[in-house]
Amino acid sequence: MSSQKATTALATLCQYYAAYLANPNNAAAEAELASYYAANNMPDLVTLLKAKDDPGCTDSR
Amino acid sequence: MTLAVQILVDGEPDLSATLDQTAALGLQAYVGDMRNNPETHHMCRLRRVPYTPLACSSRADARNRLWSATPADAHVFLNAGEMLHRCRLPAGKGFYLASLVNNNLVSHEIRAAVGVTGTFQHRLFEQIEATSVANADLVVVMPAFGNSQEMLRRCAEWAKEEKCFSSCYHLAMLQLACGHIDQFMTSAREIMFRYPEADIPNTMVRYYYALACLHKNQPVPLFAALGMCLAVNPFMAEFWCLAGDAHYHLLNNFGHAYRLYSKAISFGRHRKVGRWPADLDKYEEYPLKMMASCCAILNPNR
Repeated sequence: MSSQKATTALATLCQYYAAYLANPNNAAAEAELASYYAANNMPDLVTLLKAKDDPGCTDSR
Repeated sequence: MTLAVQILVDGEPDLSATLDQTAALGLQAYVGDMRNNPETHHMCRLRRVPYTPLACSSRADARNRLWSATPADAHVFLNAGEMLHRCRLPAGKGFYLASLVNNNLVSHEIRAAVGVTGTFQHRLFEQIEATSVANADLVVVMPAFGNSQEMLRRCAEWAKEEKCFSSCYHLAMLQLACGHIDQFMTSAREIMFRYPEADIPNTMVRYYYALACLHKNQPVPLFAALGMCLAVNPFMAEFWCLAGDAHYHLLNNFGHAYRLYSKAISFGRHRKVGRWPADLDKYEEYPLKMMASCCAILNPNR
């Protein structure tokens, strides 16, 4: 990957993460991250992203 | 293979503990003293440790002079006050990283050279520039942070005379350590603008900038900075924890915080040994504690 392409890819990934961090329940933000990693052949990261939280805690308010 | 432990004295830290610990490991120390302090000289003479006076203002120059005056095949580089905890160097020629331990914080620096020569650079926070480095079983316990105001003054002088990434980076870190948050944020923004590389020091500047945003109640730039950090290294639990802290402390969104603390644990477990620094608490103890707190808030009757 050329240096310019790598920089652009990093900037894109950075935006995906910023959106995900602002709302980690946002399915669209998670899907963007997951498809980025899937497209870059990083299945372990896709699995980690999609892993469910500990079910022992749910918001009952 | 002969091994020399080179100890640089710059100020008044506790040299005796460093010397005694080096001797306890059966290693030969060589002391270079930038202050030419008679007491340091006396301490070395009592312990039969070679002493070299190095009256100069540049730590890199002092290191280079001590290195050239030290006859050995392998060299370990320490500062007065640091304690060598483990020292097993490979026989292969090259530069090696040490793990620098300060409470629960671990960082990495080149602190050993085997069968090679090199040059230290920078008058403060000197370092060896090497294209290839390897890990070694070399652990250095750091002393409590000393007179940071004095270091801040010296670093500000350095940054004024020589504006480079290293001087700007260390100045920013010292401003943060001294609690000058606004000055730090200004310095960090300049670094992020001038040096956009996605390497470890640049990414850590972004992380500390995000930490400053937490103190300033600024979640939007915090998430932007952390987004960059995680894009570079998603296995750093510190980054996920800080995002969790933003939701917990700034936005009162404990469900989001819980999820991000949970990610700190799951991603952090897959982290590999490398040059990235680590705040060990952030890999399990801290996120577990915060997740329990989130649970207690979300489910007050359980």
